[in-house]
Amino acid sequence: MTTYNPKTVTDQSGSHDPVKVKVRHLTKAYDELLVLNDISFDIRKGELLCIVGPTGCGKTTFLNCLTGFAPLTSGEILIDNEPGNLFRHNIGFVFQEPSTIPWLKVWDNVAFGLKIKKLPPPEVISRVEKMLDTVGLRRFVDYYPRELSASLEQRVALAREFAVKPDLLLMDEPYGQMDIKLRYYLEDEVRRIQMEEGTTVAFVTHNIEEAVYLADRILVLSQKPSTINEEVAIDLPRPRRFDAPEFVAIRNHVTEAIKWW
Amino acid sequence: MSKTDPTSEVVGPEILSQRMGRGSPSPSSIELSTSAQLAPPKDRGGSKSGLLYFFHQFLRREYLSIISLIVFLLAWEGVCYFKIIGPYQLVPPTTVLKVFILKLTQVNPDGAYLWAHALSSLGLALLGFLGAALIGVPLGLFMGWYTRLNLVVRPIFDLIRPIPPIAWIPLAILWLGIGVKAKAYIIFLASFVPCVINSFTGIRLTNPILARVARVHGASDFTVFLKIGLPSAIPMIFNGLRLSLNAAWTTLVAAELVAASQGLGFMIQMGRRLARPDIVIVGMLTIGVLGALLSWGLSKAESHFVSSRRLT
Ligand SMILES: Nc1ncnc2c1ncn2[C@@H]1O[C@H](COP(=O)(O)OP(=O)(O)OP(=O)(O)O)[C@@H](O)[C@H]1O
Ligand SMILES: [Mg+2]
Repeated sequence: MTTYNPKTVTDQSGSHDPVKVKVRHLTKAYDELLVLNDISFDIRKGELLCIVGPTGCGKTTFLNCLTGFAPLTSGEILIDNEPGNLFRHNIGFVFQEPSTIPWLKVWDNVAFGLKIKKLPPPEVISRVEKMLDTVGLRRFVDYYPRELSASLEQRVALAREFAVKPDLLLMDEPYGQMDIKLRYYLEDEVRRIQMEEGTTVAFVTHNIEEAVYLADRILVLSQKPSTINEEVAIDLPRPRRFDAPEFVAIRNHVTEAIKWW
Repeated sequence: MSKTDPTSEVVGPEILSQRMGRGSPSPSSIELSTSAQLAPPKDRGGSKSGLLYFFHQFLRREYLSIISLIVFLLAWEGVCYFKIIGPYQLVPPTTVLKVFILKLTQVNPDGAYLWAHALSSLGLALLGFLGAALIGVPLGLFMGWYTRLNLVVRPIFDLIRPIPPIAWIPLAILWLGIGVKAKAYIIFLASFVPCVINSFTGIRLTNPILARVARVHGASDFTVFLKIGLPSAIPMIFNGLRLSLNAAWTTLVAAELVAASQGLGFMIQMGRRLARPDIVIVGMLTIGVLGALLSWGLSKAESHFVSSRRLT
């Protein structure tokens, strides 16, 4: 059995890749409850970073801090070397909660971000049409979200966020609702879109196998008050196979790293 | 149901065998369903025969309401016919119908045609109601969206809100006389309150995640208000409008009882003074029917705005 010796990747300053997101001494507390405790790391441009950690450790909270939905208690987060600004930075966010807009049909839901960004209508149409095919929603364009199953609904949200071609894509357990076949397909799709567009992706998941399959790097958070337990760089060749010995070794290693009990 | 699996368009079976690892399921064992399938039609009624079948059909839902109405009218007619209640207190439905037709072409005894009374009342109610909707709905929405505005307006609103609209009548007469203005003002007050409260509540129920969906793509606060807040509030806005219209119509009659020279409220008041229960009842029924028509019109407008498919 192959064992895995993690490389140390904690020294970000030594890296030559340009940095997309710089997190320094991020601390976030809700009143008395300290959630994120002095966290520092970088997300490099074009990187797919998976974030794993026990439930309630503050993964969603981190994404909310990044977008400015939740104010930081202390520390700073820079996107492209400046404080995050939703008017300037092109960010996509696939929320953990259902986030389709109930009064819009599937087509208009997918077009929602593009219309907010005031893209010219022909561009909106072509992007929406393309995304509908990508996520397999073609025959559901005239449905309302309430008429869809949870998995279909989640695909609407995915298509909406992919369609804006974000520089920075935040995904919060996006595939939790989906069956294995669809998940495999969409994992590959995220990777493809990321390579095509050069997107930087922060991908939160509870599924360690998914993390090892997708990630360039995995960030393992501890239980709250959370710190970074470990950063695991994954340079396995792609496409990755679940049954490759190296794959299994890394998966076991991350599983050990995440253990808090 | 030939092909409802949407992934079959995009996912080939290869993807599953590619990764292996854990026993990958075969594609045929995976099923995606939509909740869009229609419920099977209900089985309606049995296959009875003869008289029993006829009776069964007779008691079907569609007829029950009509039967109940007929029984009620017959009982009413009977009460008058057998003089259980005297003709100066109550007239039978046949007389009501006669007087109704008569009043369409005759101004006596209360000074105006029935339709003139009705038009006068309708105009007044709609004036007050529309004024209240045009001001009250935006005010409620803005109060719900902008906390500071709410803090400024709330104390004044809370002070005025519990005062029954009818209590404003004396003051309204002092300020505006007994003309149209005073009554429109009272009706406005009555329908203003539900508009504000329901719009406020409606926009406060906006799902914060949806607001974030808009914000993350760079929507300004006002854009979020328009694209997320306002549509979220629409069902409650219509709820408010319904209550408002109801309040407008109710208050109108009260206002006309006190200060008017025309209108349905005035007409029934005259009927009482002249000891003419027929005039009173014709007036009351007209009020009832018109009120129901207004509500019906509003729910038509609502279904135009709110697709029944979007909610639950
Ligand atoms: N708005 C809030 N107000 C107060 N406490 C909050 C708020 N949002 C999150 N928390 C708390 O912060 C902690 C972290 O929550 P968060 O949602 O970030 O966890 P998570 O890592 O995303 O968990 P999960 O894996 O279950 O999604 C939890 O204990 C939660 O109760
Ligand atoms: Mg979460």
